[in-house]
Amino acid sequence: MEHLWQDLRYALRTFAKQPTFALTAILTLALGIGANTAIFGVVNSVLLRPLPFPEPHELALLWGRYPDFGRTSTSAPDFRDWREGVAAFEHLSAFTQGSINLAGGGEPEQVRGARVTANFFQTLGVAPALGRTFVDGEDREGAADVVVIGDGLWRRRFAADPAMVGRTITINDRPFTVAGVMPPGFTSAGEDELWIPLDVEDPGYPRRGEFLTVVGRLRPGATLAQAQSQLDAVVGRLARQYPETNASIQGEVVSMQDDLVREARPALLIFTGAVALVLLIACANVANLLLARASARQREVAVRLALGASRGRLVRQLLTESVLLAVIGAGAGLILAAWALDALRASGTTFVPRLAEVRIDWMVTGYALALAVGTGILFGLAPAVRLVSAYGLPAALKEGARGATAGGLRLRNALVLGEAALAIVLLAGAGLLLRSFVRLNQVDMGFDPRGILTYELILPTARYPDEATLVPVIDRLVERTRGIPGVNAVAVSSDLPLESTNYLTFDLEGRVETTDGTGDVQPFRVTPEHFAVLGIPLRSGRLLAESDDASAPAVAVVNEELVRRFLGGQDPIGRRIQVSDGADSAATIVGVVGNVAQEGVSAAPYAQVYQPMAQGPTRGVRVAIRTAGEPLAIANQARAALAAVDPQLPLTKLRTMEDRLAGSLTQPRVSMAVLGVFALLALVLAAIGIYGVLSYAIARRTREIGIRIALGAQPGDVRRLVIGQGMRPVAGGVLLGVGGALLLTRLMQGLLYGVSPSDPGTLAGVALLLGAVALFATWLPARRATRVDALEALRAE
Amino acid sequence: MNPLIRLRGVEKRVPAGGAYHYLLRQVDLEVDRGEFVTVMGPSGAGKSTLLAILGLLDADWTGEYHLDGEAMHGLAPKRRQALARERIGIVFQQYHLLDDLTVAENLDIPLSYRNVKSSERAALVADTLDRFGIVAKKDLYPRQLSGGQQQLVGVARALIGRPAILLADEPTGNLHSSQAREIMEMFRRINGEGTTIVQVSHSAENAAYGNRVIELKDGWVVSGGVSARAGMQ
Repeated sequence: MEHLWQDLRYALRTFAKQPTFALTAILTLALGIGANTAIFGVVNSVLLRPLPFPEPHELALLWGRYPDFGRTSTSAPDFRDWREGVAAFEHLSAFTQGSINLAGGGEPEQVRGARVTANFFQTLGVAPALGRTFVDGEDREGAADVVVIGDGLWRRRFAADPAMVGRTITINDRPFTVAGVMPPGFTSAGEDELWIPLDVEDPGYPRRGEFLTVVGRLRPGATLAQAQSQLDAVVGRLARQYPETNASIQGEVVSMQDDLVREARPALLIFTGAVALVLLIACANVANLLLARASARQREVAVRLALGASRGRLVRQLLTESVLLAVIGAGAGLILAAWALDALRASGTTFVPRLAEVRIDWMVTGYALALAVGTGILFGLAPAVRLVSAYGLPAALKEGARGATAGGLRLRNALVLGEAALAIVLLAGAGLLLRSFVRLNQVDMGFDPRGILTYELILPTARYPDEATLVPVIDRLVERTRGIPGVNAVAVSSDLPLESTNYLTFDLEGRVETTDGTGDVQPFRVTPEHFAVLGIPLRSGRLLAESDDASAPAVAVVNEELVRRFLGGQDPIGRRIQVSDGADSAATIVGVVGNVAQEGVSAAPYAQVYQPMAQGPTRGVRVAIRTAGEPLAIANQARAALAAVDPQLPLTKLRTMEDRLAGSLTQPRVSMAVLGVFALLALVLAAIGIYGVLSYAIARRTREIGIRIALGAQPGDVRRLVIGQGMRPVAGGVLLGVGGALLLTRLMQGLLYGVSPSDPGTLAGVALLLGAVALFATWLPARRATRVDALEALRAE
Repeated sequence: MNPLIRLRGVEKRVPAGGAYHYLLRQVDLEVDRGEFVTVMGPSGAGKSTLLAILGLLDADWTGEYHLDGEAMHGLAPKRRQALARERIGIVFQQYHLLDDLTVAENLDIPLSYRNVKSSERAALVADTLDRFGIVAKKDLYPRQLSGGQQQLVGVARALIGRPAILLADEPTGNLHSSQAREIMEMFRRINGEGTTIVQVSHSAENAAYGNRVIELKDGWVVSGGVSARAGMQ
């Protein structure tokens, strides 16, 4: 222990004596350890820390799955059959999320809420902070309207009223009695703030109206595998019993934790790998610094050995220094990590779940410290061992501070080679994401997002009970908004592009049976100017018109994909189509329009049907306004127009179409930005490493260069010599790195769009980039070498 | 006929504690073609400084220096280096061979800096190895040679580009006397073949191989600055 204190004191004194060395090493390590700590902070919260529910491993989500399409929500009748048939679950509940209009206790507002079966809270195992949750039967037709609210909403809107239970609040224009308030931190999936009962027993629900997310809690001792096999049995029975609707549906049981991180996991694992590479590069750099310093410390080590220090004792002293460097670096790294996590939270990205829970806690701090000790030993051991063993005692004492051996330079060149290889791997990863992102931005989405202002709105049942009241209010809103100066066109629709939407089955006259994928369409209700606002091109026939109102014959416009897929390219005009959305009669197809990207920029085209809003209005609507100038400039007039139509209606998500588009590119953008930052770090660190090694080598070779100049070498000869020496290990590293990248970038397949993981252009580009940076890093020492004074160099001998 | 080397009023000074310390003062000197001159003098007299100026390694001095009639003072660095490459070979006391190169590779270096074609270079290296009797050593590294052998390679390297002048700074300073004699015999032979030699030496024995001694003291030329022929004129 005494030795340790002595070593620590001596180490600190050494750092103070060589502040440039210490600062460079600490900063390098801070970057490497900081990046690792930040990513670990996210991984810890998202992948490792259990969900905030009791016995979280017992919780599972149940999904339907179409073989060619993927997972889907569940219909109420299917849910009821699952509930009966899967005995492995103690509780099986269902919920559906959406926006809810809230009034009472302040301005009307829209909040995220869920309709849930009465046993929902029991399933999750969370008790309320105030009052109660729902009781059996409260989700049945005829029960009193009750609501459970979240802690955040309770504090924000109701000033944490202790007498909240029993108060009446207005939800979608109906009075609800508050039954309970949930504890802080509780949320169901998403950011739900209130929960109202959902009746799934109504026999009127169709088999293929999928809107429920199903969550279950396993009986003690039951396993996911048992649940899966029981679900398989039920699903098989349903397929036989209802071949028309259930033939191709399968079922899937997924642990809730895995389900939550399903999308984020691949990216997070890749980030973890990336920061590990950055740390390795940082270690190589610090090892290089230590090796350079080692040659200056030979005399000190020789004297210590002569005074009787054992080699083991000296290695321990040198390792104490390197671990201390790493620990100080980790301290600075923790600060960097906290900043990075703040920045990540501020970016508002939604593809990383539970981001709000991410923080630097004891676990993360401990990780950073452990990393520091590990890296301190990693980068310190080789230089320490080399220092105490490489030099014969008498020679070192006699020669004093002569240059290090050729072996030292070989080790340093190997480090440069490794750094270059690691940097290439990171650059290749970042380069591929960048290319993907560029490709995504170039995708033809089938509409023009520029110059459009959008917002969302719910038209509550209480004030607009039926079509006869809904249609006029939508008409008035369109008219009023169109009157705003600078507005070219206004559309109200059930959904805008690039948001998730419904999928409905349909009948079509002359339909060709297909085997690929499902037989669904994406149905839209739109006002006539929808196509003009979004710039969706007409391919044949006509668009919807003002005259296609409730009294006119039902009409529809379909997209090219529907014609290709379900009509084999035959002319659809005049054919009858009926979407199973509760409409009474089939509609006549009057036109064909282009395909529009719906579920995401990179999603494959899907069959789409547009029907007039006036012939079947929806309650949740999106308003899209095409403006002549900057869309946000008319935001206040748009609000005023809505208030003039109905001052009680809250407006949400007011933003430009381009912002919506940016939102749907968040995941690729964040991935690209994060990996880009790491790759840049790697590039800078590698450049510093190459520069450092070469500067050191030049210092060692001053005499040789002096001789060469005396023998007639010109500046060009010297430059070539030095740059050649510097670039050789880099070239080896590039080759090795390209090989490594070819192996490792395959793991990124899922994050890429429109570019192959082994894209030769990207690999060549990053090799050139690293080569150029390395050339610059060698050019500086090379220039210095040409200025060696031959006379001085020869005299120094 | 012009002397091969002619110095007039050459001075070299270095800053020292706010003033200047003079290494060379008002040096007037002439060396004719084919001469073998020895510069002598006590330590600190300025011998090596003079040799560096003659070898065009040092450009920081004042005065006039004509090499074969061409003024070296105020010459552009590029031209000066080119002249040094073409006309001058240097032999160092510490040999200054490159440790990581073989004997043959060490000989090749000056040629590689003179843009000699590689086929020609190989022939010249082979010739020189032969001429200096070191063919058997061509693949050895400097550390595998004795001091005398290393200096032999150093001389061979200085002469491989067929310079008009050979400058030697204490060429035998690190050698045993028998080895020193061999090198001096070699110098005499080279001089006999027409190469002008200026050597710095402490040894009167070495000086006896030459035809003239220039004596320096505290930076001044004390005697022998001008050749006998020039003196007679």
